[in-house]
Amino acid sequence: MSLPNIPVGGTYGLLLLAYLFTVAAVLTYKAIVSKDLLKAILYSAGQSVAFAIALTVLMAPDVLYAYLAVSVGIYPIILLYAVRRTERFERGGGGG
Amino acid sequence: MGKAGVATLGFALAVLTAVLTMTIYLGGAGHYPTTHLRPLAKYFIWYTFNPYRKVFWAGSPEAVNAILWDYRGIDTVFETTVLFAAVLGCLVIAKDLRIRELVVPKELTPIVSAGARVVIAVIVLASLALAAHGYISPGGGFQGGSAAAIAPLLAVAAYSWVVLKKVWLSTSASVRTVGLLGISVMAVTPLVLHGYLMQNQWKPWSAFVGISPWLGRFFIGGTLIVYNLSEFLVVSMEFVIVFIALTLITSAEEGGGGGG
Repeated sequence: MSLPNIPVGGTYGLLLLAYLFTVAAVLTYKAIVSKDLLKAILYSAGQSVAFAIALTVLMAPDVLYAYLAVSVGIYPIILLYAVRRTERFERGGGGG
Repeated sequence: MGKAGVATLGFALAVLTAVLTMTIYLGGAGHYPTTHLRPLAKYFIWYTFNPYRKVFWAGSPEAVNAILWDYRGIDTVFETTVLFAAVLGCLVIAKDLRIRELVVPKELTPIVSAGARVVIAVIVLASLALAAHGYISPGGGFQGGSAAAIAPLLAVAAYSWVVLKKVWLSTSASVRTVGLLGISVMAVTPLVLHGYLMQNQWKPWSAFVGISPWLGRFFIGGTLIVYNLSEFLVVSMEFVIVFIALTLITSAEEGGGGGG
């Protein structure tokens, strides 16, 4: 049985999703490019926030809670401590 | 970045947004939640809290939690096992755990530490509610536990490293063991009483009478509340253990030197 593809939230929901995914893509790019590892972690957390809002739009609150706590709370903090034990600024080398 | 650069970036963003919108709209993102439910979703929503068809019910209005701990309970137990094994591996690596000479960083202002205290209290309470209410509202053991794990991390950040003591490690390991015991005992109890593993409610093909979703006037959701609270303890403490192991490891070369 084929179901009509009526999205939740209508076209506005889709636009919101597209916007959030665009923001996430830009922040991911910034996180990869950034030489300052501290900034990279913050960009990565920002990307997680965009994904978390997207999960709300997709009506998945159970996933949202687990994702929010892990990706915005625990993951950046553990990475911050990891960076603390190395150097904050990435030096040249591969790829440039 | 010049004016032209900003304009180019804006144009690129607009094009990207439009392309993504069209892709999602044309079904490029795969399955997308629709206003019409798929048959499987209908099944779960119809049966999860249906007292007139008790053969298939789970005694919980929250279908996700019912699937996690009742319909597909053994899946979740194995997930917990995977997390347990991962933390065990982390601890094996950090076998010769020694407290470093922890350098107390400059004291934070009273405003920051008072604010941190309030935020920590809110995090603990909210995550406990998330876990204990998991069988009624969105949330559950894993969600609550991972939210609660942020509180000690924040405490370390706000109140210097002195907060972390080696006592924490044994305490959190003990509390985690209590949680694991809770899950195991709750899973095996129906088996001992001639039911099947992780049975929640009464089933016609099983001798176990099931655990009532009501405790007097209070709705407790059968076994789900026990599983959720146990999982809360397990997940939060395992994250704390990993965090302690990550921050307190000292390698041989580093000696007991202070933090960098």
